[in-house]
Amino acid sequence: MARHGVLNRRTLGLAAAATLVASLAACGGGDEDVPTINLFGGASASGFDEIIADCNEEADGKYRIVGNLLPSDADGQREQLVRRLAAGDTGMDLLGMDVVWTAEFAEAGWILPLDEEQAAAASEDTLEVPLETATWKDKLYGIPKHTNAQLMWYRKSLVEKVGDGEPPETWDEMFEMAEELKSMGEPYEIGFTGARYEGLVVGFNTLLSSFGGTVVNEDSSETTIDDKTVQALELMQRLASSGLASRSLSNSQEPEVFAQLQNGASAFSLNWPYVLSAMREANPEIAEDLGFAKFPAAVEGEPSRVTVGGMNFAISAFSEHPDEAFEAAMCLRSPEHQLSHALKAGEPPVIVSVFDEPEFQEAYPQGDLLLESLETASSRPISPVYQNISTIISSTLSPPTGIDPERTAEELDEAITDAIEGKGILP
Amino acid sequence: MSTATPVEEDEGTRIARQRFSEGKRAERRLGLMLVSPAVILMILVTAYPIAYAIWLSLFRADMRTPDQNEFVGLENYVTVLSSSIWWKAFGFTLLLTVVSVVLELILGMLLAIVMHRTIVGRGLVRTSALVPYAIVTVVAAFSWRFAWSQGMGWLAGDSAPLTGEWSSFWIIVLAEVWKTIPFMALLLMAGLALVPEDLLKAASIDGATAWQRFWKITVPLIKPSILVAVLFRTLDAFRIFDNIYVLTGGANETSSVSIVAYNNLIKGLNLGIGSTMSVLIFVTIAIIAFIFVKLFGAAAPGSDEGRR
Repeated sequence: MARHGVLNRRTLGLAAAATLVASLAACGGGDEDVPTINLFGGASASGFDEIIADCNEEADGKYRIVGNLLPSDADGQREQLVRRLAAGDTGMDLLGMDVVWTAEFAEAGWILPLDEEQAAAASEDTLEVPLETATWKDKLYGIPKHTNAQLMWYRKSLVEKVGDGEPPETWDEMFEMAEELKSMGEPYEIGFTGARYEGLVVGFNTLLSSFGGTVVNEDSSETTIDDKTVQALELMQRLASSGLASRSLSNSQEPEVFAQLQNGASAFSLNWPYVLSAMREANPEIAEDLGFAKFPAAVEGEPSRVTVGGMNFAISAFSEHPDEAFEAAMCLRSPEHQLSHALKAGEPPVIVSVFDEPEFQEAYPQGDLLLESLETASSRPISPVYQNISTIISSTLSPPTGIDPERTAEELDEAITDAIEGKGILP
Repeated sequence: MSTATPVEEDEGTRIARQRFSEGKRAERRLGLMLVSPAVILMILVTAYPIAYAIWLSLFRADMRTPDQNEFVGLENYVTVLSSSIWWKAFGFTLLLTVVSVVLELILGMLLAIVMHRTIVGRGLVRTSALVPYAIVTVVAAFSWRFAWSQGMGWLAGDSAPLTGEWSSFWIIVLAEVWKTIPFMALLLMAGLALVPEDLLKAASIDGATAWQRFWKITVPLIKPSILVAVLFRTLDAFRIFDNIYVLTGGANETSSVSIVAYNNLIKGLNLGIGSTMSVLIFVTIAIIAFIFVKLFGAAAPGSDEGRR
């Protein structure tokens, strides 16, 4: 009996200690029973920690978002996400994905499709093309977070010298103006991201879409390379060999294109919306003279179709709290938060009504134009093998002076077909 | 052991011999038992991954399109071996290997002689010479990268050498050579210690110059050490990854075969193509090792005598 008592007491003591340890551990990890939503991607943008804190407060114990750091470059981010997803890591709930990753992640079964109700909520008042980038095989996987599109920046004083002060509407007009400026001995260059990297893919995709072409069909089962591709390549080759682009076109990424405008070499510059605010800092004189217009059209009368950038949220298939993750995403991209994000981090919203906010209009003089551009925008090829397609395009088209439209189109066709058939090799 | 007059084998010798061979057998058994844990471990950590990589290389195994995975036989090998990307990387790796190993051998030999001949502060000289080898490659590579970065690095100034193909090549060689000279020197120094001082003195008295003594005495005697050092370094250099990964990331046509394999395996998630490349790297290394071992065998002391 006595021994029994001792044993019992000992067991009780142990149990009590275990409970204590367990509750202590829970305290260390945060409040009890509050699901943690681990966000990977986009969390380090300027001011985003405030948005996270806001949402955590709003959630009021329903969930708690933790922003995790990822490498700063897109390739590094994707690599880490992919590696962890391939291993079925349950420690990731919400993924901030580049717009071009959707098909790959969805096809691999790493992200969850939104159900009807969720999809309706995520699409409400949201721009069409960002939604398109978040869709794979007719299912919406992503919740668009922010977007972006290139504009044409130009020097007002120069454009006035060769016309009525209206910026060129088509590539042909732009070439003519640049040619005339060149003969007058004025700055004439057309800034374009022609280096061998993703920016070249963006530029090519914009030209191709403006001609009405695509790279792959809807389910990425075959290529759709045709005479439209040849036309786009002809235009790019014309830009490279006209003598109107910068001599360092084949080495120009966004910073170089910006610098060419900043140091007065460019008359026209095809670049992202950040140019205005950056130029005010870098060269106020040029910034004064800076005008912006829609990306020039490839075909007269048809609007240009610029390529969207940006980010979508998606829910990891391995998340233990998918519903909470969805709610968290919806909070992080709510109209108020998109507005503050656009103001603080310079990342344009995907929700149409935010473009009408007075605060936004003030900070983004180019806002209306941006919205207009986004409404006729295009997405890059949507395909599980986008990584291959992107590499193929940038390496085949580089340097742009080496483009031989017919032959280059054939090369693209062959290489991308190989990639779709699983025979693609990444360099 | 043969003697002029064959002796009749008596019972005692026979038993003794039998016991001796029994003892030998037991010893061998014990030996096998003692190495078996190591062998099993090696099979687990080496043979299994190699076999699995070979197995995967026969499949279309792409994590991005899991529904389309199937057995494709040697198709992946055809794809890789007919790809200009692969051969470009192969050529680059080979060139890098040859150039860096040659430089390492020359400089490593100089350092070994210095380390061998140092009289004052021998320990200090030897320890400090080993410092580059002790630094983690990635850390050293980052130092090189920053040093060669435009506008920031103390070596770069206004130029951007890491954006050009050949300048990148030489920087990679430099980083690689700087890092592995100590390894080379250490192996060579072990060889130098075996060269009898008397031989060198005798040659010196006979009027041989330092240059002649080096080529006619030192080099032949330490040939095995040289070959082992060169073999190790060649195999290592051919698999170069970390220096390139940090310095250029494979940009400007500076991808080594390991970088290409990594890009296809880890970035591209194409396990079939990536494994095929790994297998091809493995085979290449095996061939290099085979050639060297044959060379090494032919040059081993003893057989050397017979050839001359």
